[in-house]
Amino acid sequence: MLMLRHILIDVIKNRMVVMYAAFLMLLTTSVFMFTEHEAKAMVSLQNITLLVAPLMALVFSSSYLYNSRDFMALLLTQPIGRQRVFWAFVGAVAVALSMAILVGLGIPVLVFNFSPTGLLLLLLTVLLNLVFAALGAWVSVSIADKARGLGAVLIIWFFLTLVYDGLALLLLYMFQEYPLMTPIVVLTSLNPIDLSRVGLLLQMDISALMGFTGAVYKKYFNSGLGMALALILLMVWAAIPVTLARRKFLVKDF
Amino acid sequence: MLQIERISKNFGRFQALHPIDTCFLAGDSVALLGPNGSGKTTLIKTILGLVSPSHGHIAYQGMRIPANALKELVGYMPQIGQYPENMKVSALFKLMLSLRGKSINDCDTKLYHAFDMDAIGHKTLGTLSGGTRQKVGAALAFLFHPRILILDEPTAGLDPHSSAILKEHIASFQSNDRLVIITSHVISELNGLVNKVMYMMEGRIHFYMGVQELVESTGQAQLEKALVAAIGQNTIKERKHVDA
Repeated sequence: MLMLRHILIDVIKNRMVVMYAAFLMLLTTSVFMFTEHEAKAMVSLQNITLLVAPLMALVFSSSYLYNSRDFMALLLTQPIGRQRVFWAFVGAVAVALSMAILVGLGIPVLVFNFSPTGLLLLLLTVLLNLVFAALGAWVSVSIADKARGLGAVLIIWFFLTLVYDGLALLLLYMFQEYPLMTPIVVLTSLNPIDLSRVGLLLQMDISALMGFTGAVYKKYFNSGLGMALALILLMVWAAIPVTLARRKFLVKDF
Repeated sequence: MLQIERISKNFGRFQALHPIDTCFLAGDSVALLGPNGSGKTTLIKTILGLVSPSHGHIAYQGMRIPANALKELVGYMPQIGQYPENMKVSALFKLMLSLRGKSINDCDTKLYHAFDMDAIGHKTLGTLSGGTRQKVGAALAFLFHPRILILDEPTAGLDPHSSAILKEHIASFQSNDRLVIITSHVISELNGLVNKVMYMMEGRIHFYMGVQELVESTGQAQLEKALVAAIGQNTIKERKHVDA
């Protein structure tokens, strides 16, 4: 715990994290100030956080862990378990990024839109952030070269934010003659960004903005079950890469 | 004191260490030399537990002991490295002490004080120069009364005065129940600090002999020249061996 605290202090003071929190706060505040309709504001906010939070989590988590390799090695020459070192670093990154979101997104939401929808947006963004911080950690443990690792991270982001939806649409278009309910639900569950989008839209109950996926989700589950499932799947999405990263870290050569 | 039992290491297809069988004796102070990519860093990292060998074991006093038990005994000074930028020097020492559950009063603080770590305690590690970071690393390596001291390029980046202080501490650290392993590119730096030389090439130990023996067998009084002569001799010997 002490190691986590010391590293956390270092991460929180990191310029990138401070700027991230400030950027989020500026953005959220201006969206609330300039958008009259509450639902519209939430949707615009979500559209932005769905792009920004994964990118920041991926890039920051991987680059911070890459830059810490020397220090990790020094800690690993001390008589302590590798596991402890791993959780201290990954935990510090995850907590610091979540704190940036809670401050930058959380405070304006509390001030301007303290509602279940606002809180859900906050929760979903933090979860999404954990998913991508975990993915970034996995990349940094798996790929030795920093430049290649950062490239991989950008490809992951690009794929999950843009390419995936395109491919999904293409697939649905090709098989439009068939019943598509189940494939759509599965495809959505496989992408954490889609998952958190659907999660919020289910809560807001605005089918016009939900798109096909949301509508299907809604039909498949009632709101409560669908959302619970979305939240659980997001947690699974965070747990898988962090477990893989941990396993790699325990046998990694430094 | 430290037995290397048929340690080998592959990184993918590249064999960084061919099976190495050797022994570091207590009381010795060994210069670990060799060109880049010769495997000396891999060997050190294997001893430190940073690299897990593909085959083989490290034994201490003839026994295979758990990795963490060995780490208790080792003080390691890395090459100029990155520390967390925004961590204060005092926080770093606090962290290291807490990891071992020790208080500063139980520690060897001679070098800590010689490098005046208290004076820079309030500075963050990111603002320190390379040389000052080296001093931090050196002070940490000596802190926990190690039995085995492993120094990776210890004097690179240090100013002459600090380098002299460090060498003095290394010399006074040596005793017949302790072991020092130093890597360096600057051979003249090691004059008088080491009593044995291990020269590695392409993942193998090219030769491992006493400085005295090295000087006598080559007829060169200067360590640097003796070393160059010995590398030549051993290469010729090996060639003959291969030809035969």
